[in-house]
Amino acid sequence: MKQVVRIRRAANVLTRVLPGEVLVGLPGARDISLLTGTGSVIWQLLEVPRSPDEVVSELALIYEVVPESIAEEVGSFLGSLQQRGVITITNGR
Amino acid sequence: MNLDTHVAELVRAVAAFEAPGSSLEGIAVAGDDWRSFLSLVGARRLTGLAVAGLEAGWLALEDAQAKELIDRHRDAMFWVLGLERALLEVTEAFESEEIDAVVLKGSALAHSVYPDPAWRSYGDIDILVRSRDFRKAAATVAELGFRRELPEPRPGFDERFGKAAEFRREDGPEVDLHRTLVLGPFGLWLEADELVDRSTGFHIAGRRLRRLDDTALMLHACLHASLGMYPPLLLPLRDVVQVAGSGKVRWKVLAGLADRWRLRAVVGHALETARDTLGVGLPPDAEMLIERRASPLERRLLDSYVTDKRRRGGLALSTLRAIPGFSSKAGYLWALLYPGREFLNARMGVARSSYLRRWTVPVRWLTKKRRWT
Repeated sequence: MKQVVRIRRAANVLTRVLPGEVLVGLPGARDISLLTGTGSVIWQLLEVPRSPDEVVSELALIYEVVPESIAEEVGSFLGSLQQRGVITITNGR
Repeated sequence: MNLDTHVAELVRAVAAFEAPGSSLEGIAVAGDDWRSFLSLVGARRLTGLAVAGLEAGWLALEDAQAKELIDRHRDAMFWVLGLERALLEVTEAFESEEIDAVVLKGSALAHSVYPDPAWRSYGDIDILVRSRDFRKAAATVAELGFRRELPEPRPGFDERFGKAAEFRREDGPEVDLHRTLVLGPFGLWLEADELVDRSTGFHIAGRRLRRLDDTALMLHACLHASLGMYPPLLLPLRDVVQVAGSGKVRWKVLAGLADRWRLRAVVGHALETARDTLGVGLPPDAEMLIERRASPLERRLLDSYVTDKRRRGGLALSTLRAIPGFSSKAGYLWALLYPGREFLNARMGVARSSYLRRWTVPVRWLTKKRRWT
């Protein structure tokens, strides 16, 4: 059976949504990140858990571009969010 | 701040944006008014409501103005998230010390009664604990690196007569540790420990915290709006309207609490002031609480908060009147007139602190009183 990667917001994340941007922080961390532009749109998309492919295709629809042209950039952004601990990426079936 | 100016009217409209029972038409801010408008909206912690109004197209702004407003709101939200982080830290420490803690005001309201927590800014953290836990809670907060701003006037004052102690940490956040909800007689009459029992849950960052239940939340919103500051501030008045319109307040229970704790005048005053200041309609049950007549004593004591008497020592005198028993009254008076040196220095500054200066207010009050009689 194929493994499905799901990305979800961390359960303990502190957030505030502003027009076109999102503030994101964690209880124990010192910094609060400001996600703007595409970053804030990706954050909004993650209101429900999604696979990386789903994030890319949703974003491609919104910005009217081909998914392949943004896949790498989106992947690296998701990686940075994961590194900051504000999202979790899990493997499921 | 004179609320009769045009800018003040605009800010008042912002405070009522999409309030339950409000039917205000959209507003625009003229270039000449912009600076004062932005400054007042920021000072009154109304940027969240203004930004919500902007997004809804209710508040018409030029692009540059909109950017400035969002910048101001972003700063407020950075601060709020820092406070929430501190709140989680403090409540976790309380939990491990087995101290019952109830989150009050800003964060509790933002996450419970507003459509989006970003609508409700706040500047500090307010936590209510039982009187018996107050000292332990203060020590716990101090262990987290918070320093008390103003020491208690005399040992034991906090538990007997105090409302709250303010703590601040170097990285910014301020924690107000409450033993009761308000200063003065009304704060002494209400049974704050019962309010701790009347609490319910809410979530921040996945953690379950305690807040006052919806009825007690309404009571506290009224106390804070009417008695917290004179003249009343717009955001606490908006809180009154917001909680009243939540559809979750048990009005008969609220009336019972107000009767038992002699808060009938306060509740009526807060609801009426909120309704009239923000120009909104209230639920019929809330209107009925405005109509109820309070005792002359309650009304007189309310005057010591909501009139100029407050600035002339009226609050201290009405507190004295409400304290039962001669020895307790004497203890309160002694602590106020002859507080510890540490309190005096913190209150007046080391260079200026003196008992003679401290006594100026009561002496002035007594002379004026004599002139009136």
